[in-house]
Amino acid sequence: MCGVESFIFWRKKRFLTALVTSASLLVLTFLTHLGLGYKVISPLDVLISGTTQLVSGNLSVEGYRLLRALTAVAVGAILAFSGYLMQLSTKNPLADPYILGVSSGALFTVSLTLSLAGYVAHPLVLGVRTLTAFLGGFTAYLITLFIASRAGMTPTSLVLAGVAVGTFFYSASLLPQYFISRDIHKLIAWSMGSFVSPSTDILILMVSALSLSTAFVFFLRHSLNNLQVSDDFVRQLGRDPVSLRRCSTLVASLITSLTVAWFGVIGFVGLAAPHISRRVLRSSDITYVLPMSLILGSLLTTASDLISKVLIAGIEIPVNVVASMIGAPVLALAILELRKHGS
Amino acid sequence: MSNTVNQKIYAVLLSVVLVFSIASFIVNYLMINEVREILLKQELALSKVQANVSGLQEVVSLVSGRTEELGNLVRSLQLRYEELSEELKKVKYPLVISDSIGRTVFINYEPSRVVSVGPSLTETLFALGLGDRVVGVDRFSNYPPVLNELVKEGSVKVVGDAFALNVELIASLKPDVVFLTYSAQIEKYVKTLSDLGICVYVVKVEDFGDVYNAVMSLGMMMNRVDAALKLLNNITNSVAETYSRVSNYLNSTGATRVTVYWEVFPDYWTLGGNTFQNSLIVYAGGENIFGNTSLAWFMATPESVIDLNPSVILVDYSYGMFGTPQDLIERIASRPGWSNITAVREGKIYVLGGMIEDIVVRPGPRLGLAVEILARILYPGAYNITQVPNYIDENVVSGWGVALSS
Repeated sequence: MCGVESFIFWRKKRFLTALVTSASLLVLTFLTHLGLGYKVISPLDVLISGTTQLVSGNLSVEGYRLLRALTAVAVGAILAFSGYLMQLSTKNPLADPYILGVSSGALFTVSLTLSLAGYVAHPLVLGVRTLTAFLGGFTAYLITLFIASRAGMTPTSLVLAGVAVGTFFYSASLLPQYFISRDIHKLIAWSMGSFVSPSTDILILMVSALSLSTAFVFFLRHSLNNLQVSDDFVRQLGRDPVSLRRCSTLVASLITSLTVAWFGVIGFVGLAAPHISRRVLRSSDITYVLPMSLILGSLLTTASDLISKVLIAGIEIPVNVVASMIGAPVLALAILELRKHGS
Repeated sequence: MSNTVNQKIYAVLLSVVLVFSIASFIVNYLMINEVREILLKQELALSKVQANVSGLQEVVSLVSGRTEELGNLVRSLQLRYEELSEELKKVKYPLVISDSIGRTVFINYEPSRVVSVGPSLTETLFALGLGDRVVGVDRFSNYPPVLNELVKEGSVKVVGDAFALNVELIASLKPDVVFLTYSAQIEKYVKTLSDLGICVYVVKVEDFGDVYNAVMSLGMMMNRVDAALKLLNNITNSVAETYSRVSNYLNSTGATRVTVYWEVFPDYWTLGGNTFQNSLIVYAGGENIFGNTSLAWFMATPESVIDLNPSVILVDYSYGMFGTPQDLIERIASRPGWSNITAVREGKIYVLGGMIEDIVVRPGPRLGLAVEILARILYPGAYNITQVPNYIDENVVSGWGVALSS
């Protein structure tokens, strides 16, 4: 008994230290993000006048910076969340919305809608674009899961199926744009992820989606924890593992598609954040890993966006490029580790 | 026994191969020397063209503030052209000419069937009076209007674009020469087409100087040197006229130079100093706010545009992808913090649509026209235009009395 208690105490202490460290890192990055830009402004000024501007709805530079930083935080948390949920439901540490083709599926339907309806800013479009993105992302995810289950549902087969589906939908997303754009650079410009045009409506939408899905996971945390061990465990607790999986799949694709519809594809954050959290915490318990992943996801995206806007003055580098350069090495590490553990 | 026989056979074979390779080496060497001589002669002619091109650029850079010298400079340029014209008339087929990626291209006789990949090259060919020789164009070529009829009729085929060429279709058209605009993947198509025995000529048309080189090279290859020189002369005169008119206006009224932010694709995609459009702005008397950036196309940080405070914002209509022109203007004006930008405050956001959108992106024979249209938008006072509408298409421009087609 004494041993177990001290283990639990040690784990809690480790969790708290890690959480506080990463949260303070996030706050630091957030403030740097607010302060740096084309010109350096004191982060506190930006925070204060930005908040008043956001509340009044009359945005200026400060409000824009605050909105953009908040958007980066929200998108990062959503990507980490959906990546983690996918990893739980597929029992695969390599799962990520980008790797499993969900982002590309959403990209395809958004591209189709945009080429049919244009980029017109209309309140109705807000819903239509999100909905079509969700349909695409969800379909792509189902196809990936179907192919992978036919191939034995091993980690490798899932990733390979995701790559196949993702490549298909990414190429398909270029097609409608190819026929509409008359210049190639416009074609490329569209599919690169960026936080350059944030909006309050979408931020509210994302935050509410994130809180709802966090509530969903919190409610089901014991079952999801057991799902990591085996399906029988879940059944013993009186829940159906299959429907649990279906629900997680639905939620994960819905919230991923929401970010893709408005900010494009941002890859590997959903993989890197949960992976790093598990390594740091040396635990797979949802109650510990989830909050840590959310914070790390926000940290990764905010840092990536910071780099993408200040690396060259006056010029935006697509945030996807920066995020992938951080995230892809983590995928490589995860693959190596998987091999070491022989799964 | 058999070993020694084998050895003898090997020795004979080896010596035969050796003799043949030495012989072919000598023949090759002689041929290359001959080619080199022809090439040198033509390189000389081409270098004179280039000297004239830089002559033009000198003219325009000298012009600012010293407009009275302009007339003399243009006249001296014309004299140089006439001199050059005599020189170039001596050029006869077979031609050996090097293209924009340094390949040597042989033209044995005057080409009668031509495929043009690149809207500006197609426009150049038609401007040189060679429209009847064009048998294939890329899918973006849509000028002059007669071309669209020819495509509909089927006498001119559409062969894809510079990024996805229909090589089989091109081969079936049996062209004497294929003109390709330079792009990142061009080497691949150059190789494929050359392997099929088709003569390929790559033309880089990205900036002002390139237009001069392209018109001259096309003129030489198609035996239209006179027409090419005349065309270049017209472009030069037109650009110089616009520039001097704007300079006179600036000098007489003491107005400040207009700074321009040009959004080529919403949101925030703009262009740096290394682009055709940047040159257009400069020759129209304006200044690109990102003119110092060496990148060609990039996404601007929204804050930097606020800080650089352009006095005019130009937007490509993008063929209606972002709704009506009013939607597009609204989209730009309502960006956070942009209401403080001079252009937004004074309502100087201009959407370039219709035929104008094509004219301002194509480094071709309509270059002079593009500069004049921009000058009219940036300095309406110099042209007695009271009010520039926010959506500018061919109707607006012809309403100003500018002839859009020659």
